[in-house]
Amino acid sequence: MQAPDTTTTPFGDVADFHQAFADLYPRLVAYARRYGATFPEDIAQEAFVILMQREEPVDHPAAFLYGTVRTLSLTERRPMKNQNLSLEAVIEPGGAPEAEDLLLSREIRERMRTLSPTFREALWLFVVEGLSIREIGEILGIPEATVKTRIHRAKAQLREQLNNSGGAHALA
Amino acid sequence: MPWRETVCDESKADQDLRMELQELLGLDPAAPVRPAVEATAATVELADELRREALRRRHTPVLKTRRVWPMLLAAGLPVALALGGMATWGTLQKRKADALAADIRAKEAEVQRLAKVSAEAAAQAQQATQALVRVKSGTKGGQKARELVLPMEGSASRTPLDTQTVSNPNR
Repeated sequence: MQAPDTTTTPFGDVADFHQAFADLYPRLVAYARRYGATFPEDIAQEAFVILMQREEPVDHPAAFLYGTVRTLSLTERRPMKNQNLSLEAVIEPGGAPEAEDLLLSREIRERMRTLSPTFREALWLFVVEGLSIREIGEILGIPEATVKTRIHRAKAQLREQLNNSGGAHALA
Repeated sequence: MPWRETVCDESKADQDLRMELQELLGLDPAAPVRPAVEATAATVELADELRREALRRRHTPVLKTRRVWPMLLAAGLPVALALGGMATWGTLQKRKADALAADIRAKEAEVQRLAKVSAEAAAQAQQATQALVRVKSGTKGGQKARELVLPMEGSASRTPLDTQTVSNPNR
């Protein structure tokens, strides 16, 4: 028996889904790679399948995909007896620079690497991935206020770093 | 609908904060950090394949729920066996207790019966004794009436006048 082909997707119709997939898939692969995933493509594809498999609609599909990729990546790297997900304990994101190399210059990469992993994670999702505060909260499993706090502290650290190094272009 | 429109609305303050951070990082706020990617035939094919996989998996839980019952049964079997064993043990214990209670009741009844028999026997023995006493006392009085009893007077002297002295020829 052939399964009925539903034309609606979490992103709209099939054409919208194709466009969203083309746009989000490389981002999710890069995001999984930042967490040191061994098979980032598999994880990104699995996240899409999990999203499409859901019977209940998802409010923020992009945030759901990022959150799933994060969880799968951390789970892949973690021993089974220690499943407490935490970015700091898993990997130094600067250790997997392939994704950042494609987008950011070396100077910006170095600038972000000086931030603490917690702040860098929120800053990356907010600035580079373009996700909203609420979505970042859903992805990281923390309140919006905590996301805002982390982003503002990241901003303060960047400002301090620029002041110390005498950087002028951003503060102008 | 582009996927970006599915992103929840954010306030102007948040947008300004993002632009400010982009400036701090040395990025161009006007240009998107990630350029838009056009869908190619390969990505469309991969997307459709994943969509088909999701549909296939969506129908899989029906089979999974059917397979849950044997697992639940297998998990519940030890519990059922334990409960059955305890029920059997309890039934046996109750039967033993009932048998003991019936035994005790029978023994009590036997003791009561023996006590009653003993009391009856004692009463009969007492009656027989009384009857014998009555009979004995009745016989003695009759003999007394039939025989002549003469009172014997004792001798007044204890002197050896009533004796006779003889000689012993062997001496």
